[in-house]
Amino acid sequence: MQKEKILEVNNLKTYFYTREGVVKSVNGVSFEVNKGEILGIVGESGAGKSVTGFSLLRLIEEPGEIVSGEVKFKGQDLLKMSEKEMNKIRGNKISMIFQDPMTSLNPVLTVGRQITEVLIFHQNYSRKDARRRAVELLEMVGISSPEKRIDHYPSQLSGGMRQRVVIAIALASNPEILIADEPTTALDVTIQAQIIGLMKNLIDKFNTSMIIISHDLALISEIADKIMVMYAGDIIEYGDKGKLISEPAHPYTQGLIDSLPVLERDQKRLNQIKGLMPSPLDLPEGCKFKPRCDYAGDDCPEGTELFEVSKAHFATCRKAQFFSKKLMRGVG
Amino acid sequence: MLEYIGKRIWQTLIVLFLVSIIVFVMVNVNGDPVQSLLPPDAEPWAVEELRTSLGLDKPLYVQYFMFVKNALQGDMGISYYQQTPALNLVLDRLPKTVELALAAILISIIIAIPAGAYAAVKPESPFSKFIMFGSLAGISLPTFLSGILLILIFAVTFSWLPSSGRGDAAQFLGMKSSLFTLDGWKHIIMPAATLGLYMVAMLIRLVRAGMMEVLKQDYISFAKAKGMPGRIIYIRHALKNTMIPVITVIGLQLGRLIGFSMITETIFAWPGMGKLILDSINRLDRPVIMSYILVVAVIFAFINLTVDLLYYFFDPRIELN
Amino acid sequence: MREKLRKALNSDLFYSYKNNKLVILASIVLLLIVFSSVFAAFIAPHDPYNLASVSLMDSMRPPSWMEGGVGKFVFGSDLQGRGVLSTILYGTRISIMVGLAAVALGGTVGVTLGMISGYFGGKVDSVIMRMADVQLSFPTTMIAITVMAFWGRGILKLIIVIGLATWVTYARTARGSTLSLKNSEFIEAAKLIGVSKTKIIMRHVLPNILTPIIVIATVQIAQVIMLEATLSFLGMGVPLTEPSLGLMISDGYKRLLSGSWWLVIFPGAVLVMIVLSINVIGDWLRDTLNPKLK
Repeated sequence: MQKEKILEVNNLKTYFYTREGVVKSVNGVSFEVNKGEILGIVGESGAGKSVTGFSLLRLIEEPGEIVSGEVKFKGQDLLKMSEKEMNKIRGNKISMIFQDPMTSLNPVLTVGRQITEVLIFHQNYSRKDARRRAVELLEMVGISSPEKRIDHYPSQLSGGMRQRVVIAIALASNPEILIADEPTTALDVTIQAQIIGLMKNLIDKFNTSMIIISHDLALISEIADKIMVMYAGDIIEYGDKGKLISEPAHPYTQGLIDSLPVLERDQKRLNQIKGLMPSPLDLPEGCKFKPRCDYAGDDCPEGTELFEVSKAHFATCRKAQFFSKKLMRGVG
Repeated sequence: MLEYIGKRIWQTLIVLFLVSIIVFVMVNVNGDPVQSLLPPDAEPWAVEELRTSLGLDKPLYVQYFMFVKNALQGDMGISYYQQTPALNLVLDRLPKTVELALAAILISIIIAIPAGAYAAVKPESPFSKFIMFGSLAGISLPTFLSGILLILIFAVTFSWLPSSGRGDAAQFLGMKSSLFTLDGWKHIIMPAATLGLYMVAMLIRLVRAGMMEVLKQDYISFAKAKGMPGRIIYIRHALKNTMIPVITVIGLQLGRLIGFSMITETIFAWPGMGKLILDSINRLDRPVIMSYILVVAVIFAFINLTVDLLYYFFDPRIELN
Repeated sequence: MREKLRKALNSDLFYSYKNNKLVILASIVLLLIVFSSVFAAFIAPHDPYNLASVSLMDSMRPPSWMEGGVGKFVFGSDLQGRGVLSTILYGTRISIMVGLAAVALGGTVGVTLGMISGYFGGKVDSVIMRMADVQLSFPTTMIAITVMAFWGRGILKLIIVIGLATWVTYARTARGSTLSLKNSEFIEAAKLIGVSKTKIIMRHVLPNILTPIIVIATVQIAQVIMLEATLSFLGMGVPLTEPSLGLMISDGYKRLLSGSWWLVIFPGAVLVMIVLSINVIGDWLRDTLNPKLK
């Protein structure tokens, strides 16, 4: 079955020009998203996953810059659009949800105002209709007594409710793609599950595609169809969720999976990946994970290009699969 | 809400009480008005008589209580110099000073808010750099000097504007003000610009700094991610957040302007309270000085209270308690 | 010593200084003005307050390049026949002295009260801050004018009045910084070892709150010099027997309509140059030393 390809990113590079030097936050990534599909981007902080998300909507600010690449939305390259055309995409065709609901809503505008302005600007709603629609949206994201809440200021809402409002804003124009940058990190654990459930529900209902960005592989593996693992600006592994989780190819992915708590296993302590991500200003040549890698040796692949490990599963290294026997030692 | 206002009024009363004591003491330990009112060769009985008639022969604390008691009834004594009730003298001049201060604020806001916002949105543009250097020069120019320079340029060299006095006043909506006539504006524009210059310079810096801070916030990025165009982001999302400290400062500056109006009014011979107080200080006209300071204290207290309440209306985050 | 110098030259402060042409220009202008006023006695063409060197014959000369000007008075002369340039040099010396002394006084009083207020809190704090509130309910300029009007002219009086009229700014900043330091670990540690309160405040609090204080003090020098000029202009500052920029401008203002612009323009320009240079430097210090404010 051929799925409709809705977003295609080719060799995207976003650099930050700081006084200390050039930080290659996103160093040539390529991926695609199909209609109704959920892509999860996972990685440590500083891996470039959020910058990737922001680059898609061209929200990179000084001293950052999108250096090269293509971001094709339904065949149109967003990077070639004018700022005005781009504003017709943002919040309308492609929406974004930020990490911290406490700071992503404007404190001096009412909830209603922040929803209706999207409807008025993108969908040419009248003020009255926009308000009616905003109440519906609030109801849709599970906010009780929306007629009252619509006139509240963000400070009068809890964190979970604010994120619901943010979701309502993001979905107001019924976008084709929703980019969610760590949408639950700032929330309480109990609320996290509710918010993820709500998002998954709405995405399915409207057949919206989603790119969800998180450091939490457990969360990603629960919700995503495809997973993309980033490390120091590169994609190091990319493929269908099932394959990537069950047969990780890259030692880093393997490490991320091993560090997850598993109920069935009687673990004294969780496994962890040793060391820290290298300074973005001083990256090693070739594989950037090498200094932390248990399997590093002279036989490591030289480049950082992805190659096909199996069907719909790509990685820059497959040493984890060679050594997977060795790893069993730790479990048994 | 009511409780908060009550508390604030109570605090204000304490401040006014302290001010009244300080003013009273300060006025009374300095200079002897009797000597400045009478010729140096006056007979001792004449000196004594005047002293008694002014109530200056009684102990200081009695003088203070008399002063407070009378003040509460609106009686601040008779001007030694002009023989009319001192408070009336001050209150007669008050509207003219307020007129000047309001014109100055109006000019400041019209110039400073767009200029400051522009300098924040496009910090690297040459025009922004010009704005910022201009505002630095503005706070480096003493009021009296900028007034003189304006007179030198527009009155002496080009003879475009009158160098002193207040213009014709006209009645409009029940208010009489020189702001409603062309002649009035010709007279007020230079003193108002002089008085407002410091405020323009300071507001530009404040608006720019505040706006730059706000533009870094997540909710601005989120508004951009919503696809909002520049004008909505800068005006609706950023400027409204920036206005909170700006309103406070504008309010507090209104007080400062009334203080500075002493200098401006003197230079442009503007018939307001500032000129009156400087003249009275030189004549040691105590009742007028005390009336002025108390009137100003009440005005400031009222301004501070209003600013606090405005703050509440503009910032939904503030809870009153 | 050499090591220290090298360290200083490599610091962020010096780096940003090197790259800021406006600040370099401002510091050169300021140094020139300070230098020439300190050595006014050697540089000035004549001593304007030595009656022997002043002659009414030289009254109201325009600047030397204009018709009627003479070489002796580059910037012209006033009604008494004093050279404008000489009077400016002598007057600037007084302005700068008053500026530094008043800031030292206001700063010392303000920082001390602010630290006490912040460190001890409670009643002491409320009394000091209530005092600050009362004073803040009037503009500094108005307080200074009123007090000087009653007290009379005088340089020492000016310093005291201006110093005490400006303590609140320092006090508030010192208090705020002290509050944020008060519960830090090194202060707690010093308390535990039994270091006395005075010593904690002087040795541990003071050095750590100096940065914002220095920034404020820099800007305040400019403010104070303006205030001194304003008071002198109104006839409530420097006595008539002393040279002062404010007095010179006041003189010129009285004769403004007669077209003797040089009596206002030159002292005014010097005053603005001093204040502007200090403000440029103060701005830069604030931006560099306090990245939070950027």
